[in-house]
Amino acid sequence: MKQRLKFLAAVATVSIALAGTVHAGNAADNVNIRFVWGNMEAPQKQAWIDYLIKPFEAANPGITVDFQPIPDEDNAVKVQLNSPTGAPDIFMADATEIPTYEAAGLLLPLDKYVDEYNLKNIIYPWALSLGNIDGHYYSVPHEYEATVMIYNNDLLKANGWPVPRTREQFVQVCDAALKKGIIPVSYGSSGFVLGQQWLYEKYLTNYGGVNAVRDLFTGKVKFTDPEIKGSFQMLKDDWDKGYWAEKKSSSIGMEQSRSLWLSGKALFLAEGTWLQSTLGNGATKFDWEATSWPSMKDGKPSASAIAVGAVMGVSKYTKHPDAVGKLIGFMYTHNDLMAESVAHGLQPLSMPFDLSSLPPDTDKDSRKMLEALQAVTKDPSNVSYAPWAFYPTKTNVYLMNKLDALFYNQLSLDDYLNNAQKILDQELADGFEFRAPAAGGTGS
Amino acid sequence: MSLIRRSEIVNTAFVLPAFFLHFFIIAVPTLSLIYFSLTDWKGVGAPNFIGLENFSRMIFEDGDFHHAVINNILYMSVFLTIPIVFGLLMALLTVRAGRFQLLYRALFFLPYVVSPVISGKIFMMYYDPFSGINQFFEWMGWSFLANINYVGDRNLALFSVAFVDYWHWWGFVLVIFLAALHQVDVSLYEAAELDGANRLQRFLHVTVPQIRPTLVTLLTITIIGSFVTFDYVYVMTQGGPAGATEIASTWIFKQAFNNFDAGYGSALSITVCAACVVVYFGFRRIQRIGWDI
Repeated sequence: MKQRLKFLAAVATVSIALAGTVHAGNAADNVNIRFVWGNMEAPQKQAWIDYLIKPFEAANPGITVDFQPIPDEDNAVKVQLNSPTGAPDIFMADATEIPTYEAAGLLLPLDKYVDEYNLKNIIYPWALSLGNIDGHYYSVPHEYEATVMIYNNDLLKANGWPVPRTREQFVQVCDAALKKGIIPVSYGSSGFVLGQQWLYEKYLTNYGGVNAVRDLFTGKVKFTDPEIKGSFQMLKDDWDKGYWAEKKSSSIGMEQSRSLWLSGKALFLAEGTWLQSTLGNGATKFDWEATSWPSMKDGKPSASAIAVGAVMGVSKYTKHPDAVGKLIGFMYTHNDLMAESVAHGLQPLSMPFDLSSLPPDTDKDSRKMLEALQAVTKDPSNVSYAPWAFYPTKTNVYLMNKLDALFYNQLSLDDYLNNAQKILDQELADGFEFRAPAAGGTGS
Repeated sequence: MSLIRRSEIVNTAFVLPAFFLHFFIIAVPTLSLIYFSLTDWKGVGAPNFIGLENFSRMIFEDGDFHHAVINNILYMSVFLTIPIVFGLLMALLTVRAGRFQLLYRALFFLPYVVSPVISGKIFMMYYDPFSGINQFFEWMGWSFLANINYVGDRNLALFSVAFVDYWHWWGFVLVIFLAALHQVDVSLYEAAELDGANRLQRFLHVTVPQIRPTLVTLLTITIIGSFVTFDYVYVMTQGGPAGATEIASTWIFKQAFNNFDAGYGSALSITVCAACVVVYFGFRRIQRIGWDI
């Protein structure tokens, strides 16, 4: 019995040693990058794999990418970044989170790769500048997007209503719709507090105006400024009038809001170009279009807000910085692959993009949304800033969390804005920097 | 070495793995939570020690947390009554179901095995004022029911969310009560019947005293469970509308993760944890002294 045990122990030891050797041999040759991204539907994940991961691996033998789209990625990354062994090599983040990660010393500067792959000449300057802190790049943008008003063209035409471009038209159409039992704007915030920023962005952009927003977040004006306060006042009035989901926006979630609009019960959907794949592939049974939200005040142009949907950060703990840099560079230097990925439901990267490069079989609804994205961002002087990419985090979290309290009269407008101002003052004192181009959106 | 001493060492050696496991998985995170509660940690990077500042902020400044705790108490008070009473009642009926008992038990237990995320989403569809159960009521001509705004009405929202949690929980309560009822000695009922006790008297003087330990355990679990509940609120309303469904755990989550205020979130967590410990020991004490109700 003892002899047998000894033999087994010897075999086990040799096996483990051999396995270790083989593993060590592979590890020396191969580099594996852990790439953490937000959760997505299966077709999108497949597009990532087919038009980025596989071609990159084929072009770079010895580098493999472990692409991990995970639910609640944002919070998982916050925890994992602290760990030298658990941090992903490259990860998705909101642009507004990057300064906090940088201040905590958790990010790798990416200047070397920005230069090496000529990204300053490829990526939109406004988008790239989101990752620039004290002259160094700590993130590189991924996709870009814009807020839009998506409207049911058939429903408007059937009722003889115009596509609203002014405040007056907007009010007329919304009032008429309510009278006919049609929901003016489909929107739901239940279980989706993040959606609240879509509302005040539209009023800040189209009532307050691009410059007022810039002045607010650079500390030149306060929340009590007439342009800013007026924006929130008008939003509250419109909510009270039932324009926003007949005052039931707290009763439905984001998916329900989209379903409501897709079912033809609502005129407008107040989201953005990120719905490109959601509305594509036959999801809509009627004619629809997307354009900027109408002007909410005489003299203020109808405008959209741009955003980088997500940025890519690299952990300072990564053991393969050059491989990660190579991946970022590959992403931005293969326009043909980007065109394919966009045609298969992914949003375009933050760089000029020629729609004619799309494959001929690209879904017509996806193409329509891409055209809208280019149309609303065409005039750089008339593009505003989306909260999730540009606003200071704590102020924005407060505005989102307490917007319902304003709607439900739990907070007066003055209290809501004064509290927001206190938080903004603190963030400005702590060094918050509004990283948006002076000329508006895509300028510079 | 004496036999007793040797046996003590052996026993301790057997317990040590479990002790280390517990120490690293439970004690270390708990101790680190206490430490972080005394710092301004953002959740990333290095924390700075700020003493009891977070606790002072919690007590004197954070009205939202106070409101969330009140919501927790409301949540708990309904939890302590409806699912317990309903679970016990159904257990009393099911225990007499003979050969169908297993079927009923499985059916009633079913909600407990449905993921909270799934049931939360399903109930949100029912609650949808544009396409949910209200449409059915309207079709039936019951307009007084068709206009209820389940999660959009501040006065109803908390109970609408809690209802889903009750729906999920009561099957578990029923199964536990069923197990306890099976343990009651039948001869006690027979003796009570001989003494002329009616059904209610038999329930009050035989059943309740016999299942008292189970009842106390369930009450303890329920109270603690309602203080640490999170998933239904997070999936369905995220604390809205206007804080109507905000509970301590969702508020803590928002502070720690959305607001980069993990130090403060730790202080709030420690407080909730301490409250649960107090409740636990309170019920332990009640169990020890007998609780002659």
